[in-house]
Amino acid sequence: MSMSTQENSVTARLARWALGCAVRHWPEETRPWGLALAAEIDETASAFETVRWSLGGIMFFLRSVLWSGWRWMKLPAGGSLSGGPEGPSILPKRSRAFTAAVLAAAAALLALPEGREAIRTVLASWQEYNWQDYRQSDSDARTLERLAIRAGKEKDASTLAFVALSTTDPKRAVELVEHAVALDPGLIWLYSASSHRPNYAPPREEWLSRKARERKRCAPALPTCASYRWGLRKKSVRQVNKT
Amino acid sequence: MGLRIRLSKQTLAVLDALLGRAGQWQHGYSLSQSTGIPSGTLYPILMRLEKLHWLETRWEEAKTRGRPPRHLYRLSGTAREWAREEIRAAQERRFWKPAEHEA
Repeated sequence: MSMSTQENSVTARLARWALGCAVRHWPEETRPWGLALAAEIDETASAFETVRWSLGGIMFFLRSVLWSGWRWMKLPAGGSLSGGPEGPSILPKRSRAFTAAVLAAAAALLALPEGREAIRTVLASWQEYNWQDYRQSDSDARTLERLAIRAGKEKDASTLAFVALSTTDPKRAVELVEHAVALDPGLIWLYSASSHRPNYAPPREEWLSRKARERKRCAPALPTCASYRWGLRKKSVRQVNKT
Repeated sequence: MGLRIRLSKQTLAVLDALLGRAGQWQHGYSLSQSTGIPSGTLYPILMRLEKLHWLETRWEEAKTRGRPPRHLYRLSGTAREWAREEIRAAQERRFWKPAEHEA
């Protein structure tokens, strides 16, 4: 065999160069096999054969790198908390693959919206409670909106009242209050209750005048409001769980 | 009987090629030529066979100056019997048959 015919081919030279690079970086455990493969490239009869041989070698190189990497991952890693200079390790050493799996699971948890929300909730619980800084989570807002839509369809004034008192969107609260009171005039006290929280629009003129007319219905507003919210919250959670 | 392993069609072809010139040393390129197996598949097979002690290897000094030494392969004495048995078994269950030019 001779390489004279393809010696000057740019493609063949490129293939040789690529295989040479692979051999230089070949993992130590299988390096003799890489050298053996590379030594045969001089025997190829054509540029096409050279390229084919080189590509095969590069594939073998990649497999060797992966295999070597996997072996490295399986090795136990981590500092040992030994009982003394020669004492046994207190904690068992885990493989690098195990560590990588734990890190991947943690990263996946952070990538999930539920995971991020859980972290936000925990962080929020560490901060001093302040209505001004209150931020409703996206999933809470979505759940409330679903409740409101369903309650609107079913003409469920109580649930509408609950959502009106729970939502952080002032415009939506006004809509829901009006809808709830339209369905059940007994819920007129919502006119007062819904505007107690910060960032909420003050009660409308027509609401105030109606409250003045129906003073008796509004009297128990605040205590009723509180009990209503907690009672309805339980009811709504049950409804959400059912769906 | 020695160690039984699951052999692929390519491994059987390599064994067949090595058996064809039993006792003689062969180069990787000539094995690739006779079996039609590309280098990326051939060398992992040779590596595995050597790990199983089926294959004997040695380095050959370069005949031309400036060329690297070449690797040579042949089946070990006991592996020849095993290889024949494996090939026969594969042919019996019609899993593999020798290439026509080798038959």
